[in-house]
Amino acid sequence: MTGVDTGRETSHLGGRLITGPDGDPRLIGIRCLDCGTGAFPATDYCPGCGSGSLEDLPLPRAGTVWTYTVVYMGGYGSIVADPPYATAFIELDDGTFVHAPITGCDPESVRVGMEVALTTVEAKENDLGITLTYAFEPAVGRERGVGS
Amino acid sequence: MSDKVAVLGAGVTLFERRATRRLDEMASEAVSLALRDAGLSYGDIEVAFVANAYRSGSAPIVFYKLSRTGIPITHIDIACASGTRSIQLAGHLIASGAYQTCLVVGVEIMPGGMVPWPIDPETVSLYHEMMFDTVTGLLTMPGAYAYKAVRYMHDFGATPEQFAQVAVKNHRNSCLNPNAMYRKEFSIEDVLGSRMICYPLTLFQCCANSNGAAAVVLSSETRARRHTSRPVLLSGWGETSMRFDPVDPVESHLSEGDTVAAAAGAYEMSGTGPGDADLAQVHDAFSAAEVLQIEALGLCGKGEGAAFTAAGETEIGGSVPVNTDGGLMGCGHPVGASGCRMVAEVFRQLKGQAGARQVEGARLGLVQNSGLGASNVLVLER
Repeated sequence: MTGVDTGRETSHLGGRLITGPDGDPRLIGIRCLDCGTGAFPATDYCPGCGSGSLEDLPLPRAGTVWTYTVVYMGGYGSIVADPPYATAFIELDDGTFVHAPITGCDPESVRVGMEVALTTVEAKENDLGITLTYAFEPAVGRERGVGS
Repeated sequence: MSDKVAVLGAGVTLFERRATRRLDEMASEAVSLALRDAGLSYGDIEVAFVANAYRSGSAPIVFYKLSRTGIPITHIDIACASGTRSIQLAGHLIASGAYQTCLVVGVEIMPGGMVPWPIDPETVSLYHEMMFDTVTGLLTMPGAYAYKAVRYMHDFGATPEQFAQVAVKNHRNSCLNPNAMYRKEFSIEDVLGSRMICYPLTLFQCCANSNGAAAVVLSSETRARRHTSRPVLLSGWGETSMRFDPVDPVESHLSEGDTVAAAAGAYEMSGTGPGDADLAQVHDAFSAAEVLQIEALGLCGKGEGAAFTAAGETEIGGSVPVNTDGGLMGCGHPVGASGCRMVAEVFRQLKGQAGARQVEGARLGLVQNSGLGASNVLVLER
């Protein structure tokens, strides 16, 4: 789960997340070469048709909150934030759905339709060896458009 | 040859927060009640299933003391939907003519605290994906329905108060069910004022683990007519598991499309529709789930379920009573037993033996039972 530095970019979370030399994050999903299905996170076989012919699919960084919740209890503890924390399904600008924490705002201020962009989060200590993970934070206008 | 499938008897034990009896003892009690109800003895049973999620080897454990008649016994596990999946498999076996009588017993002693994931990193590669979602705070059981509830409120203008009404109703119904774990009434203020778990779901809108057993005896209609002139028939069923929709991610993550598909199969097989239902038992693991499931069954229109519930239409005495025995919310949720408990309740209602919670003139009832992405829908008629 630790980062792999290729000089140009660093791979985290088994390739789920890459960061560029300037730290810019990007999520990597898959696209099925047989049926065109896109999905995140990446899978070994297409979840739509079962094909093993897949290519990596770098995802847009920006999207909107499709739905969310604020977790007060009932979680197993999070390496991203202490409860209460917000988590959401985000519809990225290309239509891909991503399930991720929301950071950088009061969790109770999150709303359906809120514009958000990808960010990275230093993980709290954990048994899985994760040091850096990702979340989405409120972003509007030019800030939101970067890299999308 | 093929025959119609009948439900001949059912038995449910007390569902209790702390198990005072052991797995095989609870199963034996449920089986004895169901056999007596059916007018059969264990020797009449030709094939049997145990529905259970947390105890491997359940089939020999449950049947060792009950009886060793040499019949095929099988353990079925698809989490919370294990009971109804077992009953559907029994239905297939009887409809095909392979067997005339089948016993299904669902039983569970739940692990304490939050439901653990039954996987480990040494044997399950999926562990790493699930652990990532777990440690980053994404994976919670109530959260899965909280997401649907939030989007539903956004799309249809529903309110947290309308969802809370499900918990008020089901806890009230549980007071009429001597086998239910809670049997305690809560006001809407109690429900909304209990601790917030995952917005908008508060503690009293989440079902609790419990321990118990429920058994159902099924037979061919021909065999059932030796015991009764008006058998309860299992006239249709539909079954699905988790589905990824390549066109619509919403369908994959956030809809009750699995229930819509299962219901379509059940209605087609039985030649009935949602308008024929006099009552329904649905999987109310969380209050919002009941609202979404009654819509998926077609008992009301899409987006209408919350207002339909708040208007009292799903109360006993309403147009289509839902979870008359208290549901998962009032009875508690012994995972493997819950599907059998749901079928037992509809059977009891159709027989006119539901006592204080009887739905007058009930002739057709639905069961909807969810489990890890699976949804099973059954139609029972008399």
